[in-house]
Amino acid sequence: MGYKKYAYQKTVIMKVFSSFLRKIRSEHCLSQEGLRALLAERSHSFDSLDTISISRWERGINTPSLTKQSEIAEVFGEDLFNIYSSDASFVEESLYSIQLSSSGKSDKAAHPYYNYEQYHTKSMLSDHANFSSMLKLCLMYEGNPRLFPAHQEIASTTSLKPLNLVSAFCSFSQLVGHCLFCKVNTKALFEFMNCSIDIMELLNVAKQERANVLVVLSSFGVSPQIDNHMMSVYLNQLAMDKTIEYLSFSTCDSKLKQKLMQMKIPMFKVKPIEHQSKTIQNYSFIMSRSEVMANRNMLMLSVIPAINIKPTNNGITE
Amino acid sequence: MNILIIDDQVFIREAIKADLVTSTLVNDFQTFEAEDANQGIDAIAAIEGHIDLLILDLKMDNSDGMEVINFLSVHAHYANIPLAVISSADKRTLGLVSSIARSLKLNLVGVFEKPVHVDFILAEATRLQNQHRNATEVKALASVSDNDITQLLADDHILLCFQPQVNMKSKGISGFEVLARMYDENGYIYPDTFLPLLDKAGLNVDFTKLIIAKAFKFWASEEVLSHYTLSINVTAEDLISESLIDYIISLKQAHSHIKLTLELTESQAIINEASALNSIARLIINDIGISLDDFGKSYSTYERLDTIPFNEIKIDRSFVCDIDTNEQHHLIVESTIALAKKMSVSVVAEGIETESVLNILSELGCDIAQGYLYSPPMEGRYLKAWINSYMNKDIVANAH
Repeated sequence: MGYKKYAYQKTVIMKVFSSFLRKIRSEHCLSQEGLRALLAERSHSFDSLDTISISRWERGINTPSLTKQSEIAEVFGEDLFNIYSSDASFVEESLYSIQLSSSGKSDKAAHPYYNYEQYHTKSMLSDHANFSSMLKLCLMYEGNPRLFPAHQEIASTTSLKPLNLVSAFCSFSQLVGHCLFCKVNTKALFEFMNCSIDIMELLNVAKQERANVLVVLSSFGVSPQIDNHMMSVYLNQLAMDKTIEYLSFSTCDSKLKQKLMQMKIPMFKVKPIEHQSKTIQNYSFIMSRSEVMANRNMLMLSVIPAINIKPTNNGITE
Repeated sequence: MNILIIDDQVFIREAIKADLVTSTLVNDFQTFEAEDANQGIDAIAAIEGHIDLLILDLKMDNSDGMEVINFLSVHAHYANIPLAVISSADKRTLGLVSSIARSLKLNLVGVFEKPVHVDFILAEATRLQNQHRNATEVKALASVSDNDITQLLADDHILLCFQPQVNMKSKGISGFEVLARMYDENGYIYPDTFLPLLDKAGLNVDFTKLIIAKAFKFWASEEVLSHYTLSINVTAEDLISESLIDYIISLKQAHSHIKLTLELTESQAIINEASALNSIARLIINDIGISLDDFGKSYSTYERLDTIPFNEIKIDRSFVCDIDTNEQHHLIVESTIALAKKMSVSVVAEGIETESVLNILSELGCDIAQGYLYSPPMEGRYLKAWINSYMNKDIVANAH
């Protein structure tokens, strides 16, 4: 995954939080003791907190875990995404995880046709001219019989409206990554995960009811950087849209499953799907916004602004 | 590519070979055949395990595929042979064989229902092989180690999450189950990761004590929470720690208005010890409820029922979550609820995710519902807001 390469990350996290703390304390005219008392009053998590720790946090000698940071931020009506995404050095640091570095070239490419050429991404909604052909490729990769059965022609664009598809291309329009996701509500999502409703019904609900969960149906990149980039697309959307309370994955791609498990996301359930005398495993994950933000890798990817994924249009004919 | 086919029926072997010839997925291969388990084992030994795909029939004349599976599992250097099991047995048997092969850590390509088409097997084998190659290139995050867990516990990196339990008749909130999380600089750490580590470090009982202390503190600090039962998991090992039991009882005595239920997970061996039963008796005398957790999951379920004067049964989520589609699970849940009714104890069903499961449970007379349908586990700081929004929803629903 290549996260470990960036040894600065921890220092940057420390720096961001210490300046947040100093800022918030001066804005609220609190002494270190005043801050300690306020936190202890709000939550038992800070029962044993002393002013020595606060002073150390502010001086950047050490820093509390993101879980604790998040709780402190919430006391002041803030969240970690706002704090970290507004820090230029943290965002820059995060960008390394999606950029092709010269050192990256020594890694073995995960795809035989791709050799770390520059790539660009393109976000598509269902009314885009290339949407249905790109969706087909995405579904072919994902191999999830529950997203559009093979015999069924991809339905009309209006019914697919809630779907977001982002594709990554390198030179000669070669597809090198994609992610497919939509915003739905948890009630419908659990029905879908339990096979009580199918994908079209899920998308139909998505159009009608207030969404509170972003569900990822496929996410892939041929190199670790593109893979991270695809993940950053929906994490950023989740972070920006505060009405979304949960992040979920429903996938048959065991590579994505593996990546999530390596990011220490617990699997919610595995459901076997019978398809053409084969059994395919469908993996589901669900985590709350606070779990996403307390996860260092996810927080890091979420702050990558969408502006960086605007298509550059080279090699693409529309 | 070396392919070994173990099947007692000649025509099946011939059919597979014919498929292989026409298959586009392999072009350079050599097949070996065996007509029973012994011949198969001899063949594996003869070619020293240089097999790229082993196609194994489950039921053969005079022998069965399980002999081969067992042979592979006891010889570590053969355990990596890609194994495809083929059979005409029913789905449940296929599922059983598949879980056995996985638990023996064999390199299982899959269990395929006859008639099989070799292309399916080959495609699956190739896919798994590619995955395996890619897997080694992805670097894992550093895992929490034994040392870290001691430090995390010492630093109090523990977070309580709560999942609501709802009374099925009144629709009111009846209580909350405490679900512990730990955390480090990378994010949350879940019980399936930290419990084995705590166990290894011998810190189980300390951990339970911390959780109970935190939960009590939280419940005592918020007036509104005292309406709701506080359910906390304990293990059988916790029960034999006299100091922990003393501690729990003293907390309960100090906060007599807090309704406490201890959810007891299995491990029959310890529960039968006199000291564990003694602890249970002391807890009950002190007005602490005992719930049998994960009911139905262990082998000793009924023995537990017989020895412990519990007042609640909690049906495991693996049975509950699909009772609308799984006839067998439906039967198990139905009879468990019926049994509980006869014993006059209340039944909690966990793992409810959909309305249709909830409706079936309601028809079966289940008392309390818990699951993602109501809410995923949430951090303590969001609990009051959840209670308020649930109550408001209720008011809105009743107004219609």
